[in-house]
Amino acid sequence: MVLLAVLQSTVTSHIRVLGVSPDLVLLFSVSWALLEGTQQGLFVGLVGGAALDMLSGAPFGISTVSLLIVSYLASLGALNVFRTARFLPYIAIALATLVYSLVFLGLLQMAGRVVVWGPALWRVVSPAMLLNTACMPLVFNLVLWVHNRIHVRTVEWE
Amino acid sequence: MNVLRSRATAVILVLCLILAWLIFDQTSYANPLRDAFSRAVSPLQFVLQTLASPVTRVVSLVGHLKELPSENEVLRRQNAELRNQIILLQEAQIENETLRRQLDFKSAVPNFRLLSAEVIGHDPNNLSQYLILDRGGVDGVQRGMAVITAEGLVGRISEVSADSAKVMLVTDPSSSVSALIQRSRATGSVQGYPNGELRMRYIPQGDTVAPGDIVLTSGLGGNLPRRLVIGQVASVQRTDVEMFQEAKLIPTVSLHDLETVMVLLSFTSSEPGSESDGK
Repeated sequence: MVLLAVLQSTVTSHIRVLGVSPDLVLLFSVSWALLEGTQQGLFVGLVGGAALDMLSGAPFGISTVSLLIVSYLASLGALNVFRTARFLPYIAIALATLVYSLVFLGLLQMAGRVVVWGPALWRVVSPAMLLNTACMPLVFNLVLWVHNRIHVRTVEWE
Repeated sequence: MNVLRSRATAVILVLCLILAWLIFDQTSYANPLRDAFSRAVSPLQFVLQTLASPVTRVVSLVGHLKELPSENEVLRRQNAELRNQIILLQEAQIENETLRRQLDFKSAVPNFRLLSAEVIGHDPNNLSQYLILDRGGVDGVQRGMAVITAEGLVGRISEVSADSAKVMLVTDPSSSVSALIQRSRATGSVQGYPNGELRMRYIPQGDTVAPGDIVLTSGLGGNLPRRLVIGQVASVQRTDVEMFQEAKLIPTVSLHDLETVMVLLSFTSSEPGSESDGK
């Protein structure tokens, strides 16, 4: 997660589509939470959020809290009846980006920073939702591959 | 008999031709026989030469077939090395140009004490705009110091650790800088806006602002030196019911592509006797 946060700070920050960069840590956390459930989701959210906080100029803890909330909500998808639905990861990441941004901006304002809500939602959050959803197939399939490697299913005949 | 006679005739004819050839060659005149022969033979020569050249090449290739893989490998390695050298030289050239620009800027502003710093990271969040520099408290960097390039203002140091520092960019919504319009001297406050834009607010209604105007730091408050370029006016919003005008600015510094910047450690303003430590 730390490596992903560093990548997000150095490499993907140069990839700008519609004025925003892909949120690698958020994409990974949501994918992992969807596949692994609440406990793992919260752990990944905690580590990823702390790594983001260390590299961000925003007050420490904002990314951690935002990502924890989002990872928890995403992990509910793993328990949901729609867990096998193919569209779930895409809806999850779009909603996760929105929730993450709203919590982040809210906490930023509570910390005394200036937040221009309208333009922030329209010019940053909306493009970020689109970009993250577009990146989701790649990241989710990668995480799914890792997940399948870890949880090798064996069938035994008795 | 007839056959013998015709053969003898042919031999005599050939001999005569040879004799004539020799005679023509010995005289200083041009040899018409040689010319005629050349004219007749040269198209054939051309065709044969054209056909023979690939054949010769293939034959030569077959002869060198054993050496080809090793030669190919050597050339491939040389190519990779040369390509690498070109990339390094191009990088050195870019770095050289950047440093030269910084040096020119430093000599143009002798009242600034500047420290060069490399940008080692950007804020990973889309909603806040910061840079991470490779210089920190050990190098004399302190909170509140201005960060600039030869093109203009980048931001201010917001957080310092021993060997790195975070810079709040002018485009962050929490950033606010006292500014003035160069042409009309109208004052206002430049604030960041989401998605990397700048807005100049609180410009009095009576003052003139037009697209293309250059916006500079006003130096009010003493935290930043005067006359640092911030941006250029792109458009102006003016309504009669409002007390102030607002202008949309384009930053002069391309903040997402920055590789090196300068931290303003201290500066003396143009007025004699005044000095600030850049915080």
